[in-house]
Amino acid sequence: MSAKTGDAREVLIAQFDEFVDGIFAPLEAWLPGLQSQLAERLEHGALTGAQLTALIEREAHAVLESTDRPLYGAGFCATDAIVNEGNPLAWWQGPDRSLLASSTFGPGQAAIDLQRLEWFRVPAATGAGHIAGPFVDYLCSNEITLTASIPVTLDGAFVGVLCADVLVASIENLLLPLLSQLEGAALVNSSGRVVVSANPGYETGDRFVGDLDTTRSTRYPFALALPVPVMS
Amino acid sequence: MQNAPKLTEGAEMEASSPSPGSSRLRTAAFAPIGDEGRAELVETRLMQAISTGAFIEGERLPSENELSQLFGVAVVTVREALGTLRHRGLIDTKRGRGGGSFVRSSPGVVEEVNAKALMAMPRVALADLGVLYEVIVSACAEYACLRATPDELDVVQRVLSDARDLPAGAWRRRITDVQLELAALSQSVRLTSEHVRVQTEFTPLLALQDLHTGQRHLTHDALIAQIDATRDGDVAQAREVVRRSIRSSVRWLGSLRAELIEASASGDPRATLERYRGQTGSASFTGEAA
Repeated sequence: MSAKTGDAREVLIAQFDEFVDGIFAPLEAWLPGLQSQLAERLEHGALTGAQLTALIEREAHAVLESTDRPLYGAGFCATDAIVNEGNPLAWWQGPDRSLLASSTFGPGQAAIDLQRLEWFRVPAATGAGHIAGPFVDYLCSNEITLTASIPVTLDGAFVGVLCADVLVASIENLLLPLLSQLEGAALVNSSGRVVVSANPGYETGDRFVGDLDTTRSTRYPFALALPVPVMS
Repeated sequence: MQNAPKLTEGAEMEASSPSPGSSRLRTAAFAPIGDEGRAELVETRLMQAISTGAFIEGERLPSENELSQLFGVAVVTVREALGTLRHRGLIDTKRGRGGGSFVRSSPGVVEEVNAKALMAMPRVALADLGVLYEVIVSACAEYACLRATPDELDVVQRVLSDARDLPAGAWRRRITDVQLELAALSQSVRLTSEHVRVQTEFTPLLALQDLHTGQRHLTHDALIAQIDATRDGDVAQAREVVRRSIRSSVRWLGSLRAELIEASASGDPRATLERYRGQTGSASFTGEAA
């Protein structure tokens, strides 16, 4: 690659990293306050879903109101170590900022197994923030979604994740002009799945396969992918 | 990701975590009804939730207040619908602490409702529903072959792998979940939504197979084969597995329907259902035209 396109890629990845920083920023800012709120409340035993919702709602709405990123939803998903009854999700989504339905996630024999969900499983396992997707969020937004999440711990014990959702449709307009600067470029996740593509041969959701020339983000599980030019 | 070390909390959660179920079907069942909503509509939706197995026998439904909020109708409307379901013997209501409306736990109540739905459905409509389902599932399978990641398939496989010997109700719910998850791996919102719609309509009928151990194993094994084909990115094989499995189910349901109708002239469909229960023979249902 020429030095010039190499630079262009680094610049693009840096711009994208900066965009993702802005998704995580309100979660990081929220974390210490949430930890002390939870610590205080949990002195009296585990919470019910309704109590958790009441505890979280104002801050979640504040995040959604104040961010300059196009967040679709935000909230907290607790383990059953701290919420033992009702909905473990205090999470608001969509233009009406609706609380995710407790009948989907509440306890009972049909409750969803959180370990199956990447945005929960990865931070629980690694102890670090993660951004999952793009995936069809058929349980909640019913859109192609990216979900950023950071682990929440109390005295070292994992008690849940703070999350923010971004719809792929809402970031296309920001990313496409950047990607279009490089011929055939696409932003892909760590498994090669296209997030946003300026390459007419690939759409969001496709996996970028074959010979690839990638420039990875050092901080997030994303990379810029370009087809390897055919040698003539 | 798939070999994530278990944290102390995680291990506890896994041990106590309830069996994962078809939450998406619950969401579909509880989509707002709006102004046209009346007790019959609420009743239909609740019937749908019960007959798809989104709620299984003995399980508590959301409270009257929550149902009223979810459906966007008055509490009195919800109460009326629950009254009808109670009268039909589908739910029991308990008062006081820990009370609420529960799906009736006497075995076979839901099965009988589903059997009546099968009998009432013209054979031509059953076959056509089968065609639509096959096409949607195959299309999802094709795109999943191109787009699913090994990690995602590991998660689905895990959900399926320890389900084989669950009781019929819990098994069906797990299967519905696996089917929806596989559909979502197409990475298409529209295909996934279509899948949810058709699955909601078809699951009550498909669940009639569950009394027959042989049919249950056929469905289970077909899903394992579908996951394998998806992992291999083998579109032709994935489509073939889906086609054979669904056609086999539709043929089996067609035969059951004929027997139920024949038996109904002389009385109770229960006897026919009981005759199938626990049977394991399945060699004759290959899904192929004879």
